[in-house]
Amino acid sequence: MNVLRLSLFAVASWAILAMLAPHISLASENLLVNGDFASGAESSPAAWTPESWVSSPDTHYRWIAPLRDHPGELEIETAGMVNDARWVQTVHLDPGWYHIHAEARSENVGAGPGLAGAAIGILEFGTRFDQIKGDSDWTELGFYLNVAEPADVRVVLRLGEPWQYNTGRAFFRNAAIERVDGPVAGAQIWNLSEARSIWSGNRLSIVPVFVLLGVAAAIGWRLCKTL
Amino acid sequence: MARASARERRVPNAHKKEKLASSLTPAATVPTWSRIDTIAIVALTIVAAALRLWHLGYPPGPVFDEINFVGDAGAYLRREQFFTPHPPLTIQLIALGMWLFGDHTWSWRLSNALVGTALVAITYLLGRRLFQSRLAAALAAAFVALDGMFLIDSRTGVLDIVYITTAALAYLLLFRFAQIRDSADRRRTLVFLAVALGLCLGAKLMVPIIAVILVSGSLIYVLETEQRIGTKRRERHRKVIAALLLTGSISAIVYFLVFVPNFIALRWGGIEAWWRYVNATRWFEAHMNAGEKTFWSDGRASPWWNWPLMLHPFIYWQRSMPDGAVATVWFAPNPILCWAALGAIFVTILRLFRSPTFTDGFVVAGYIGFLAIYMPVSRTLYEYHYMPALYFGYLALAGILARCWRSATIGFEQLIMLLALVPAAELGFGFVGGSIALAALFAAWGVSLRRFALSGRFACVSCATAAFAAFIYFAPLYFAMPISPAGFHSRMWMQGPGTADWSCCPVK
Repeated sequence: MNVLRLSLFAVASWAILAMLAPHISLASENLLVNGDFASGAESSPAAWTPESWVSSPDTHYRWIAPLRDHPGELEIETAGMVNDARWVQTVHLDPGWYHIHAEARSENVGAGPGLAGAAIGILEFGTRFDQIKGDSDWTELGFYLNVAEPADVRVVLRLGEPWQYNTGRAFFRNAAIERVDGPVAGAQIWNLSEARSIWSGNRLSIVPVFVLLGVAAAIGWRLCKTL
Repeated sequence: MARASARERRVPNAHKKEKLASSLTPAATVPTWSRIDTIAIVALTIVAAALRLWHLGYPPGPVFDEINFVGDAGAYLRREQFFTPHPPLTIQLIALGMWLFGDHTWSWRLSNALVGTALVAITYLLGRRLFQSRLAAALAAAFVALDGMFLIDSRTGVLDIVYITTAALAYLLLFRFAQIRDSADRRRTLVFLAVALGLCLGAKLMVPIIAVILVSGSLIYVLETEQRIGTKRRERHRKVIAALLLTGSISAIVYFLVFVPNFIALRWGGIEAWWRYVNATRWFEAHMNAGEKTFWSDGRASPWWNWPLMLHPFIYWQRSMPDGAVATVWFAPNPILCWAALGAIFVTILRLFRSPTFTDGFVVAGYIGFLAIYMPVSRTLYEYHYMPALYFGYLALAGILARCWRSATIGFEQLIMLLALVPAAELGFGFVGGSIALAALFAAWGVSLRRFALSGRFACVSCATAAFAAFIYFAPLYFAMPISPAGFHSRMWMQGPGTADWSCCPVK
């Protein structure tokens, strides 16, 4: 009897643990490497790469190492010539929902229409994320991403966007990607497959076009024999 | 007696018609290539290359639209999706420079510098065929080499110089086609012409369509007129259709080939993705036309009628130096050349009424066509949109000045050419100094009119010398050479409000 009870207890415990474990472990795990910007060497943070839309002597990237109570920060400064400047990290994501977020603040970031501010996002064409502009104190920015199939995703902490370049200073801290069950109500949501489908289609569909034009050119070539 | 006089009247009329018909076809002869041609084209190309390659990496950061197009080129190399409304050839050339030599300002600009240099050589070859004159060819090439807009766009990673150069190549091949008789050679020429047109279409949105219309229309005209005698109408039409089929299909193939890197590097999904790009472009243009920006919301923008008068050039880039000097890239044509080109187009139009020629018609059609395409556009337009029309203006100017040189112009035409110097003298030297200089100029011309041959040469030399002097004077603003603020302001001849503001809107 005791053995049976113990066995049932063990099975029930395992079942409960099996159900809770992913949530417990995944909810707390930050899939970004060095998302707290705690480690780095000299002026470069570990695992993050600075990237400019256009190389410019006016665009600067800094890692601010953690100091006592202050967590580490990444800074982007675009002075003079506008730019789209970002810190980038590539992360491999399995299918599921993810909450991608960071804290950001801005100084003197252009706030006019057609100017993109400071944001955390993914580097996929056509995606737009919540931004802060002007002079702004620490603000939590983030969104939920649905991944349908395993994919490498480029996470960016950026100031400006292509064709919506900007100037100013942006600071980021406590960046994270956490696996979650699903998005919370009212949150910004992006679907990776949809974002990547904007230029999708059958690559080979261009071949019949070339064949057709090639035939027309061949006929033209033949007809032009006696010009 | 009455019959005889009627016949007498008919014969000169027939002769006149024949003469008119022959003038309306491209000249069948081109000056034979000589050592002078070799020396001229090599010298002009060396000068153009030196002007375009010297200190190419300066300014050290993005200049004007380089932020867009160099950025797009970088995205190509990172295989990062991006959208630009323009077909990608020029961006691919910028990316090629970056891929070969690394991410430096000079490598962004290298391909455009080389293409801009090639334009000078192509213009020389085109000038020979258009005007059957080495002098006209040399002048046209020199004008393109020494013009501020053509120079700056060759030293910057922006779009215009590539489609203008490929269009010029197509014009050259069109005239080659018209001036040769060997069928096999003509067919090969058509293929190269089609490739040039395809590249032209692949280098910028919409505008190259004028080059296509101009070249196709001229091709039809040449084939229809040259074989009018002795060839049945049906046969002529067959040849026209064959030529259009060959050029059209090859141009389209080349145009789509330009997109192949998008299919490979940017993972575009075939023709469907291309069609989505076309729709996105239409949305972009509609959005721009919807009036989000107007001429007056972007101080750098200007309507089309400003451009021939050079009312609204603008600053591509400007920095103050620690010593107080100011370095500027000022996007503007050479004022003497720009105003003289307008005069030359006017004179050429008048000549079309008096004694029309195919060349003059082609040049005027090109100038008006490239200007007319912008007339209905309501979105922001800029001085650089004038470049393809101005190219024809420089061809016309070279043709008229060469005619002046060989005394094939009337006094009125010479006067129009000299009038281009009036605003430059008044604005550059001030009212008193300018008036004295102009009085001396026109007095000298008046004296030279007594010997008519000399007056044409006087007008030609005066214009060419003034244009060269203007180039030297404005060169610091083309090359971003540091000069004193006083020196900068003295070169800003028009600083009024609204459209006539030469120092408008420095770009950070």
